[in-house]
Amino acid sequence: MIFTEKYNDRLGEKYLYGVHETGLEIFMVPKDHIRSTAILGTRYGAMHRIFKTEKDDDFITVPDGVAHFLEHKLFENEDGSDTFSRFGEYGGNANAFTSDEMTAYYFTATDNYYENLEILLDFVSSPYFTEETVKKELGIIGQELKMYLDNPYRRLYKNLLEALYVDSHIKIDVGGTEESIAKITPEILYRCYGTFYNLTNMTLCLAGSFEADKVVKICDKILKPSEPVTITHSFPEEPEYINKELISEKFPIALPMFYAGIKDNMTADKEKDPISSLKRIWEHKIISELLFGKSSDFYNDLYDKGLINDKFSAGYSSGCNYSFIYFCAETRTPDKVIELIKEKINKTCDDTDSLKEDFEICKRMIYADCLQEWNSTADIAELLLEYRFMGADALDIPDVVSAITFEDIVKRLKESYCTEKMAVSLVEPK
Amino acid sequence: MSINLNRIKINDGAYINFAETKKHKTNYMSVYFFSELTKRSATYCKLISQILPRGTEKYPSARLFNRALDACYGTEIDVYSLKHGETQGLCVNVTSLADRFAFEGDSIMEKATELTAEMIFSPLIKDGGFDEGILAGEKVNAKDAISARINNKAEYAKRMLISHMCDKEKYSIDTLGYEDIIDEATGKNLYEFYKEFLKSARIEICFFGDSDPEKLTEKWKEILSFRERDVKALDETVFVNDVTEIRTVKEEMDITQSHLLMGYRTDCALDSDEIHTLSLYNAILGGSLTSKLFMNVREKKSLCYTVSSALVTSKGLMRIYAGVDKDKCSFAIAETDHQIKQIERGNITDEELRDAKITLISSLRGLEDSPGSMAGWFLQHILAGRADRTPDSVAAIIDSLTKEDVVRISRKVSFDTLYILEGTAKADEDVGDEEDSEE
Repeated sequence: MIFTEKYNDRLGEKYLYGVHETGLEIFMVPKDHIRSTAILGTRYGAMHRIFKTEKDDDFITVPDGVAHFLEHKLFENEDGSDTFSRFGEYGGNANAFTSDEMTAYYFTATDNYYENLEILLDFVSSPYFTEETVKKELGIIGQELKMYLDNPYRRLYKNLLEALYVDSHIKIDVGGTEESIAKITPEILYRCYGTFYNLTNMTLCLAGSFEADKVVKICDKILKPSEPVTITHSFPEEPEYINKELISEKFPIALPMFYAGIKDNMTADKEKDPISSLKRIWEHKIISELLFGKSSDFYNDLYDKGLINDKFSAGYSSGCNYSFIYFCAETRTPDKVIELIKEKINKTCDDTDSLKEDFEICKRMIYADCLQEWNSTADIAELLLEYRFMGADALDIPDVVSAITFEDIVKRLKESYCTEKMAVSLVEPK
Repeated sequence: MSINLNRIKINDGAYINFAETKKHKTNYMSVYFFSELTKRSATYCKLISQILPRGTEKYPSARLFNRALDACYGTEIDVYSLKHGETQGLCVNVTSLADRFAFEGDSIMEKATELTAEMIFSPLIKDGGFDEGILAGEKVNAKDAISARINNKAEYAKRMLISHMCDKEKYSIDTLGYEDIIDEATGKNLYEFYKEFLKSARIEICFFGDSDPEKLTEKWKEILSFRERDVKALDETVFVNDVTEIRTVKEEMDITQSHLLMGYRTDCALDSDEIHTLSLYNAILGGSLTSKLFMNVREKKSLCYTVSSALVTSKGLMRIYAGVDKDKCSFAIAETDHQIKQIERGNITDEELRDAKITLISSLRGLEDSPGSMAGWFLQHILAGRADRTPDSVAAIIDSLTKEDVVRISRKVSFDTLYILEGTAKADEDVGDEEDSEE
């Protein structure tokens, strides 16, 4: 297996990249840390409800929550052994997560790295689903879904997506619902597994202390070749306008909370240029900090007046198929705060020179933030994977950030901060 | 690999503890103050943790102070109040970019330390006290934080367990404070409290990063050399071990999932080597993904998504938590009790013992990759008078423990209080009542 090396001077970090003969692409970041990490991800998440491969005549639609259900079920082995126990023997601390656009399985370990890696590759490569095991999992996932029903922050987020998006599959709850998961069968699981857990659709990222050739030997031993597959998703055409201006719920909480978003129509899938995606994401981070960060006039004025507290935040959320600017606050006067956010945006768009004074300091701060993402092996491996799935390279971030100019920020602000595309999710005390 | 922590006295009752490492892009420094725990100290420290970042003598507004932090490559300073056992704590955490990444040879750590000292020792004072206008706003925030305890149901339930279980003990004092004490606070009496607190508190500074430790030590010596010190000895935490009656407390809330908390007394202090045996017991019972509770209550019986046990070593407590359906509570309690009895009877498999040891030892070995975890780990042992402990020495003790040791310690653990936060909403009725608004 041939590896190419890429190094970033500013970070003082590098990775080795190669594609295994089975089709799996691999990133390796050498780090002199005690705890090493490996994360294996597939481009399959909650949004991928309707899909086909080149071998299928037509699209199939699966129940909501399948990707997450699969994630749970893969931990069960055909011989009845428990995957956590397998890791336990070698001190591997393992877990997994499913999001809108991906599923990932990972471990961190201080010893026995290769043994843990073998287990990781093995259990993800060995699906086993029966009626009985599917039924058993309904109980556990059912409890997980109930836990989320009681979580006001989760509801805020879910309702924001409902308000922002008309038809987009981003609105699908990652866990599905008790009703949708009750429709999941072993056949559906195998179908989805066979499509998305094709190694050419997956990426392995490793960070820590290990030898490349030993990693390759384990891949040789465990992985089975995958024929290249072309997966086509059917996503509804999402209009530029928002779905609803406001969704409001009552909940057993202390103070009103809101999660507001401005729909952004630029996504990684549309850009198809990795540097443009990185630039967009990090320009938004600088803008959020400039206009709404803790040293901004906005934050301090509203805080001093008691309109917001230290839970206020602003930022940008982005994936392959969605992106939006967000504002989050706990406040007695949500209407007033939202009005002031809009006012701030509109005033700033009319007077962008007001940002000049703080721009360089803010950019320096954000630059420091992007370096700090390389502190732990777990963070590094996940960072590489997430950006890879967006078609970008996390190692390019420091260079992209340092090249951002004030003019770039002004352009991005005027293009994206459109208050007509703001939607609000509000939760009020019951 | 062993972490060598250097501990140097820098003033009366004040120490700096540091280990150099170039592993991270950031430097990590925590400044801890410890003093007597009372309802007043808890309330006032909470208020002070909110007020300190609002401005200093040199930077007389939050905006100016935050700008100074921004200019220092986005240095972050977090202030929070805490309790350690029955001791009041105030912590100032500082995370800053390592100097080697600075442009033009800036010394980030030096500046970050100056800003930290400025915030702690030169707060914004008006007419002999904290600014009344700022205090008024922070009083509202402090009361809101008390009300907001219910937002996170699991954390709320954990707090309620402690408040009931330790109702006659200092440990039940809530670090969020009390509304009546918030009301009576004035800028002047709060500042008087703070001055006395700084004078009498034990100070422990922890530093992990890539900065000249001698320079840092001299810097802190210099900072403290101007401060009047009259350090008071900390009260010992009281360990209650005789459980005469198991208490059951049930509270209802309009939520879908119920929360089950079982509180235990462990009869084991942090300064005793038995604490390591107790850690192993906890790992076997519910402290890992291969634990008895996880494997049985969740995986085999599908009773819940979350179930775990956790120790409060500073107070000699253990807490078991599970998020379950209301109608499954009794099954979860029964299964939990069964697993505890299994350990008492010596029914621990070789694999369970092995996996628990590996989990703990691995966690100890991995500490040096996480400065925040290192600070917390060393601090608890320093406060227990066991600054001699290192992750390696503790790992060696754990490795040597036997099933018999675990069984022996299990018999010292007694069930004290059952708390149930019962959800009264049905999932299909939904906890939230939705109202839409269309454009």
